Amino acid sequence: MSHLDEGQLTALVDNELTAAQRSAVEAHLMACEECRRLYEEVKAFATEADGLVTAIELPASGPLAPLGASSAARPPGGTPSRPGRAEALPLGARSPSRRAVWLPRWRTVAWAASVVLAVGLGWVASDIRLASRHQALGEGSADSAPATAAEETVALEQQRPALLRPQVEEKVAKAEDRRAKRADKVAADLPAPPPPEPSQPAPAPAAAPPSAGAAAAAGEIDGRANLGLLARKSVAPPAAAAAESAPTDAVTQHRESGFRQVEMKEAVRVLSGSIRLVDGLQPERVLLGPGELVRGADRALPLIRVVYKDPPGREMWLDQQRPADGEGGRLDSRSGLLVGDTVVTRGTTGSTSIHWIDEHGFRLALTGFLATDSLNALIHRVH
Amino acid sequence: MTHVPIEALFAQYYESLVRMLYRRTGDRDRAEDLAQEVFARALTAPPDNPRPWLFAVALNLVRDDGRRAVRQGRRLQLLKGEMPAAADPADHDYERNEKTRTVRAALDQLREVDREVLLLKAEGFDYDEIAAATGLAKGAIGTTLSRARRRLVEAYRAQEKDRHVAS
Repeated sequence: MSHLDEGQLTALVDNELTAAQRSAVEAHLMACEECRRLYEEVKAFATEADGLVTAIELPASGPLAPLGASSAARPPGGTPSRPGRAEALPLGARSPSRRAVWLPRWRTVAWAASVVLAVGLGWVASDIRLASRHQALGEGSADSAPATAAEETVALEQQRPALLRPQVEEKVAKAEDRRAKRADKVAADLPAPPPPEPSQPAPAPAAAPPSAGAAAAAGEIDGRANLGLLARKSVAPPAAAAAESAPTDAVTQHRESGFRQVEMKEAVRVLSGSIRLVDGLQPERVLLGPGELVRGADRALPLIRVVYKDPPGREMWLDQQRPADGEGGRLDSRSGLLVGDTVVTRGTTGSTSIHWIDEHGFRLALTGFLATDSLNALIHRVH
Repeated sequence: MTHVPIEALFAQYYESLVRMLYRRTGDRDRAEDLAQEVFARALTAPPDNPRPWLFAVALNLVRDDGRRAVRQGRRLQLLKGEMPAAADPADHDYERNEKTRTVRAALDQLREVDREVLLLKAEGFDYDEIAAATGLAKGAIGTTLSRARRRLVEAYRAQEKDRHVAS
């Protein structure tokens, strides 16, 4: 038999030979050192070249298979394989021709995504009033999401054509003016509550009710940081601030009010034995607080916040709650989110939050000041 | 012959098609656009042997689209922009990006047929399917693949060497 050619050896490497061909080739390899060397070379090139091609991975942005791809296509580990689904689909920046072709299916998908988005926003919005009251009372409130309907509007409008933005921004600016005036008045009217226990989470709103009028007005006022700081400056004692877990600035202080710093092992214990972390990033600190401090979280459950620094040095944080026993699974009955769905919200200080659940039912939210795409990329690293 | 419903084809092949197209184009939006176009065509002319057919159409489209893109200087990614990727170091892992860029540059140096057999192989195509998708004879696939792999590795190493010299 003459020497083997590279095609035969490649077919051997790729397991493409029939049994008879394989036997013949292997028999030749046993007897021919030159062909054995070539075979090793072909095999090495095959391994390296195939590895190079597969090293080009799809970037994580937007839905991949919106027309009902099988759930098996989702990667294991609960990391959303389609970050941005709820956000991206309704926006649907698709070409008209393609939309026409896929109209029936896109309509279905858009409808489903709208439902997810609506449920998610509803879930998120349900806590806005409570968060607003907390802030008006000088209590802690998370900064992980917009606190007003107006800002929610901004968050949504940011995803619409730019032509609409000036109108929206003008309306929001006027609304902010009105709110600021009311805020001054309400802050002046608020009675000073008793100093909170340093180690205690923020008291429930009923624990220190302001006057009915002030509470109603406070409920109308958004939970922006400026109001929160204003109210705190007026009514919160210095001890409350001293109890905060190493605030680095006013925004951090505001954001972490009501949380306390804990050891990682305590956080793991609170989460019943497992915690989600962002691979490749070093946690700055770990905080524990009641769920009611964070919009969209389950108020009945404790919440763990792992704080990181993003590459430009700004803080970002991963909020997580473990579902109560008997709950959890691929569908979060509370929010309507399925594993793989995400809801994106904008925060008051320019932050963006991505909310999702993982396959074990953990409710997760990653908040930071990076672009949405960047956060989307990072949530792939949450394990 | 009974045709597989388009929904089933979509569920089965869309992701793989987008991935292959992304590896070929380096532009996810464009890859998704092209993949959608492939399925639009499959809707009007249901293929008998869907997988090679879908990928063959995709490769034809990407060739045509590549020529158009060069003419138009199109950069779809700019339309997405919240922020340029380069301004945001958290977007991607730097080293992985570098490797991706280098591999893509190496792929770009290959002949079209070499590139295509490599991309199809990476999607798990066997020789029969690669032959069906590319129009090559099955007996030529081993040789073509062998040559393509060798050239890719050599081009990649040359790119790496250039990069290190440049840095």
